[in-house]
Amino acid sequence: MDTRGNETNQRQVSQIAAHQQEHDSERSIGLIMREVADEALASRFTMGDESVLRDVYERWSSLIFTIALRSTGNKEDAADITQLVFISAWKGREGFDMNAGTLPGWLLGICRRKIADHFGNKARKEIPTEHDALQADPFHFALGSASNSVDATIDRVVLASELARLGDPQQKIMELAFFNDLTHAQIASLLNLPLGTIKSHIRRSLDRLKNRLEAASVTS
Amino acid sequence: MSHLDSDTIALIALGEQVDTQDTTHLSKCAKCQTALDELRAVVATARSITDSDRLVSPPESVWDGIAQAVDAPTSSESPESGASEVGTPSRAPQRRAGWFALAASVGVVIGGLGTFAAMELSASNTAPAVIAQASLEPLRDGEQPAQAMVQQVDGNDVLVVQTSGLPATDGFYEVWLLAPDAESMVSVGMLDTNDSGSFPLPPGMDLNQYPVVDISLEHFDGDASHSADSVLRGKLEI
Repeated sequence: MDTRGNETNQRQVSQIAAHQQEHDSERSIGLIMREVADEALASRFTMGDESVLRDVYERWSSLIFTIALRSTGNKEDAADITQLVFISAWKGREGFDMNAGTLPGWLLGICRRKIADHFGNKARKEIPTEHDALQADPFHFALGSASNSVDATIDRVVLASELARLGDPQQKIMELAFFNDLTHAQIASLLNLPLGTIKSHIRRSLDRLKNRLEAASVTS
Repeated sequence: MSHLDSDTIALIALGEQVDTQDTTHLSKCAKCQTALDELRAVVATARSITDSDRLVSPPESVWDGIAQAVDAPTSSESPESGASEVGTPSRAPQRRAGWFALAASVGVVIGGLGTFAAMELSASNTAPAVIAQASLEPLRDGEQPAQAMVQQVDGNDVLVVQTSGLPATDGFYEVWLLAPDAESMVSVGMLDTNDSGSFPLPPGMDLNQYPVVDISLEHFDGDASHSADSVLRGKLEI
């Protein structure tokens, strides 16, 4: 079989690195595919036309909107913030660097700033300019606790959405471990799966969720 | 001093009881303790999740505002939305959001609800379209058959390979697409040691021309061509 020197017989080594790093045999193909799709979106983002923005919006607008809604408690405000995040992201897309972080991490960074702006504007409107120091204090206190709780909100919403993306049986296993406080032995007998399988699903899923939280907190 | 295995650390993070020798090790080992603390933070966050942390879709009007600002088509201009019902999202946002969260979580496909539904569903766990599949048969005795498929992700073809029990090697396994006569071929990448991999195919790659998935055992010999030592092979049904 003379295959040597054939033009099509070429390695595409560069394509491998990005998608191969975290594969393992027990992850579902669906999960891998969803990650490949996310990475493909991110790589198209800085170069693409407006249709890419639509795709990015479809993929992450629920995440941004839910965080804004939970942070402000108000649908109109959450809608405004979501709009601002995607408009800013698009206008500043050249500032997104795939090597420095993930696209959702970058969007969440913008989301954090827009929520902070929102509370800042609101506070400026509500507090008269002639306020004295006593009135200023609760304002600063409110701002500080707002940004703490925004970070906590982001963590919870990101984690809830990543949990839903694990797919079964991983999602079921983690829900039983997190919310029902079952031991791995109890989960194994409930789902009729080997102990070792449950243990390794738990470890992999926890690692994965940890990585996702870290990616969400990198704002580059 | 041997460290705790990562399965054990994960179980401790979830609050499970472990051997006293494990807890003794933890008290002395900063590395294991740090790994545990990191996972404990994840567990604590997970356990603070409430129902209201589940994803809610923004009303359609949000996209329209963005589209206007960046000069993209608004939802009423986009072909798939058809007769866009002005005002519907604000009329009953709560109910819709609940519906779609439910639909997304159980993977129900709802037809005829227009862009809003399509949006939420595509943002959730809908699987990419499978355009071709192959069963890979072992070419040597004693090996397990494997699966391959081609999926469309954002308009690009991606070959996904799932094998099991390929023997360890000091070389590596390489994935190829072959023409039916096996005379011409394209390398699509290396299968890592964990048995599965996904390989974006070059745009314009014609699967009818290269329909055979082939996995070869290669050696680190600097020779980029096929070793002629195939271990698994199967034809894509397109």
